Amino acid sequence: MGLKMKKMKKVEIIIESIYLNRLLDLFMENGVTGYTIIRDIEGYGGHGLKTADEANDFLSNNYIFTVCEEEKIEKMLEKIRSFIDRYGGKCIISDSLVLLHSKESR
Amino acid sequence: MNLDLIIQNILNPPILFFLLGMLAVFFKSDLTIPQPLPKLFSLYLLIAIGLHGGYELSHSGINTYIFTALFLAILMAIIVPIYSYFILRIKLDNYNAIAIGATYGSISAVTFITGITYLQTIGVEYGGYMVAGMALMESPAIVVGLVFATLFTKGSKDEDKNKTDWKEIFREAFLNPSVYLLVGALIIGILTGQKGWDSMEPLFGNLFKGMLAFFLLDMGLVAAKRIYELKKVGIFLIIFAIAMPIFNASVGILLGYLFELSQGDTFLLALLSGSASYIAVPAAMRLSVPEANPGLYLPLSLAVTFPFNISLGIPLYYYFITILWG
Repeated sequence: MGLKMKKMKKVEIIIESIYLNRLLDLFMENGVTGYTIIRDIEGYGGHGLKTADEANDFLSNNYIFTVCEEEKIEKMLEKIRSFIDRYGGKCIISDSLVLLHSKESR
Repeated sequence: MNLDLIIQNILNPPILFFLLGMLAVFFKSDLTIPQPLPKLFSLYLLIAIGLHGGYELSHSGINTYIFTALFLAILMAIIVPIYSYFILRIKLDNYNAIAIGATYGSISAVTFITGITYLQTIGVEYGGYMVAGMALMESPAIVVGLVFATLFTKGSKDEDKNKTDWKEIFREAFLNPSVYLLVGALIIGILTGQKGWDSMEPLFGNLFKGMLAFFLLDMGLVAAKRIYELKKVGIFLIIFAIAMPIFNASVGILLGYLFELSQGDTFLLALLSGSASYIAVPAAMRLSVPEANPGLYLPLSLAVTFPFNISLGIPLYYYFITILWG
């Protein structure tokens, strides 16, 4: 019996932690109800070194990812673009295959 | 200035731990303090200072003198961000002038706490109500910043982008963790009085200086890491970050003198007026004025003003007071 997979888009966003709630509001408004957050990530980019060990942690970065249907992400793209225009950050979208639960694949 | 005052201040274990933290970065030592700990220390310091202030307030009650001291605290918190903005506009754009002005209008709790330990070391009395003054001084600058952002930056972007979420920003101004915890601990201190303080003193009184030393060690690491960012900041702002605290503190001292506050209270008013926020205001400004560059207002406050105030500012402001009081 072959395992059922569904083609979806994976959306990965890196933003400053202080803007997280605003991004999650945007997700909710556009029907994206599931996501994963990794807080306090470190790295280097346009704003220099971002560390996760400072007392004023509002500038530390968060990583958020979700998978959703292509139509949904297409409707959201312009909003995400103006979001990162204003607040900075990175958004990466890639094709992915999601392994469906046995109930969903029936 | 009397060199003894500087030495007395610097030869305090917490200040030396701050320098030790800074040196660790300059010497590229691997010293780090795991992230949840500095947060714990900062929560501890806020609770300790709030409880103690509340306990002292429960003794003294509210009178005209205390009311005057608190009024002056609020007055300074309102006027500093206003005149700072206009000074900063000489060289900076609207967004950065608003954010840096607000940063300098608000206060740094750790600077205040270090000032209190200095007063204790030299045996000068101060009133517990100044803790309430500190809590009152944290938020007005955020509100001034928001009003300026609405007044001076409107129409520069499209309406949708400029939509301000006032609810979120006021929550940040008045219910941010430090104001919330400080005011909460102050109220608990007032309600429980002497009995409450006696039960809390082993943790929040006796261990205070040790915890401050630990926290300042971390602050030394954080401040020194930011020093490298100062290369991009420019000389005007670096001069601003030292001259402005001295000016603001002098205004505070003058007001304290005119309104006949005690030396200890005037010193704390001056130190609060001269300190700059590095947590509450930068966070509120990042939310409300994202166009302003945090690479300017954070290193200025953290890597210039904070080290200056706790090392040289404290004895300098106290020296001004001894001259004026004679």
